[in-house]
Amino acid sequence: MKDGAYGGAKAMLELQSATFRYPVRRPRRFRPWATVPGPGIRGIDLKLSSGKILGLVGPNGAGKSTLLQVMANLLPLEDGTLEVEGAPNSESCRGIIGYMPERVTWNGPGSAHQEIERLCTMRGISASEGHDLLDLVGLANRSLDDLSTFSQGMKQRLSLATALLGDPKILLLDEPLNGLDPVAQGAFRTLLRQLADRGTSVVVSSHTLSDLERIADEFVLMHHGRIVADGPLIEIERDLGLRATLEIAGLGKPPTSFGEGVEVQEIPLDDGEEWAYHLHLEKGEWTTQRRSELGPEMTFTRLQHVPAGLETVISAATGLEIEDAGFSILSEVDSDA
Amino acid sequence: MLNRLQSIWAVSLHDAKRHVRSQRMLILAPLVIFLLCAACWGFADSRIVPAGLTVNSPADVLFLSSTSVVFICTLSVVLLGFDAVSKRRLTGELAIDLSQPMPRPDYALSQLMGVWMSAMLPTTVGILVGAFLIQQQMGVWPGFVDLSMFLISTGLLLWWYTCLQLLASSMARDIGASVTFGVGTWLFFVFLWLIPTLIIAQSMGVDVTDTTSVAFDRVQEKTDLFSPNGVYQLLMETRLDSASQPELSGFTIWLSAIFWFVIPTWLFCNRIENLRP
Repeated sequence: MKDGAYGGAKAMLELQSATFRYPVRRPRRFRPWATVPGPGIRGIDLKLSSGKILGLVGPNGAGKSTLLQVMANLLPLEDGTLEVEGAPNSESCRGIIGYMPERVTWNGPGSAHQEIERLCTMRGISASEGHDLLDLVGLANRSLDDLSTFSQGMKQRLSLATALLGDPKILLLDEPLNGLDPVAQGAFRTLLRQLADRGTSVVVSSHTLSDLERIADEFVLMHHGRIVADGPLIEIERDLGLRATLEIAGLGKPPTSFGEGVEVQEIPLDDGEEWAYHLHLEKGEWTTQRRSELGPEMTFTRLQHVPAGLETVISAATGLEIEDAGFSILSEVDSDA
Repeated sequence: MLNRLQSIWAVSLHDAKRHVRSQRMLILAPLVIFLLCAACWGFADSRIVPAGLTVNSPADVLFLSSTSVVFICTLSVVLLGFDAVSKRRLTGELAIDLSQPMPRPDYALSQLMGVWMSAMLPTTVGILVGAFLIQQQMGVWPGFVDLSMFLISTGLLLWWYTCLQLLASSMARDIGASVTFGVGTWLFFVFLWLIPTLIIAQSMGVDVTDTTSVAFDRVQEKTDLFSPNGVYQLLMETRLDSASQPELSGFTIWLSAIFWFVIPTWLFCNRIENLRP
């Protein structure tokens, strides 16, 4: 993670050269229990600032969930350091961290009410706080029902409530949008933004890239257990040398010249606009100099950078294409064609 | 320290309630209570006591009834606790538990106490009703010390099994492996323990064709110190009349009981301390 990438905000959590690898069994003749270091995360440098939402993205097996578990103090570091609020990591640090694992299949016996009370006891907070959170995530009227009757979305809401227990300063969420209906997803995004505005550091791992683009301030792209790119999306795109796209629209006479190496594409007009284009730049970003090339007297109603999209960014950062997903059906379809 | 104990107690109560409410408890509790009561009622009736067994006092009845504890109560621990850790691990609930600020050894103790308390509930009911039945049959109540000893020894035995079962549950990669480990351990100590005893006796030059000999008894007592059921039986024998008392001193037997309490508990706490969810 580049220093200053997050504008010098207070570091809530910092990982330096963090390494954790799962032991993989490699039985030998006289040592059937022998293991060797397997997949995991390697040499991770990451600084988590307060009040920011960090999106964690990458292909399957990139190490996202492992990284979240390391940050949640669930996995021990093989190498490197983890500091929480400037202090070395310890059990007490868990008090300021809320962790939501991927797909918890609450099975019971018992109710959401009982589970949350139990976790309140473990956290040393009052049960009423837990009940308020059940209300917040919309489970108040189902809190006494047996967990086995819950849908996946309700289970996801319960997991979210458990992560919010004790008003954590750091919130680590692994695929939190799975199973939530579109309305609940919208409410969830609003909630995350409110929490971040209050100073909570939020890390969200998700494969739902469109949602992540809407909520995250910065991104960390992982591949093979390492960070391959990080920072705000626009900076990552620039670092990766992706073709920048500018959206311009305005009134009056449209520009006649867009400069060298610019591909122009007309786009739908908004109310009152007389022209609108997407300008695909060969390389680099839009500069004031380029703007002046359009004509200094132009009246713009829209002049903004259009992100390439996380999918493109991930593909560029990891070098993975759709064929690399490993689905044999893709090659069969290809050969049929 | 007091706060930690309070949270261990509170979490274990939550867990015990969950186990008590479970479907399997609905099946196990009547069985445990019925068998304990039936044993106390039957052994207290001199007319139907099997030949070769002498019953002179309520302490003798409690000792004989302890066989039902060895068979059914220990099995109830296995059946209640086999998925105490492994199921939560599979469902992802363990990751949530372990991400809480509660120290892991405290969490481990609360898990042990949760399963242990739920297993002790029907056992205690069975023993107390059994004591009443003994009074009905023999016209005399079991002595307070005898009854307390029965309850304490049974409590210890169930704790040891809880430790072994939860240790298995925490190590198992699936629930089937956990059940196999738990039932296997139970079978080994309940039915197969005589085999290592015989092997040890044979290697020490004791005649193993006569299992009623004094020499074999001594070897058996010593090997029993390494079995939870053996230590339990030895503890119960300390309340019998002098002719039936074990050769080993009470101190040795209690020391062994303490080791059985401390070592598996420590092993489980250590396991949870290093557990990856």
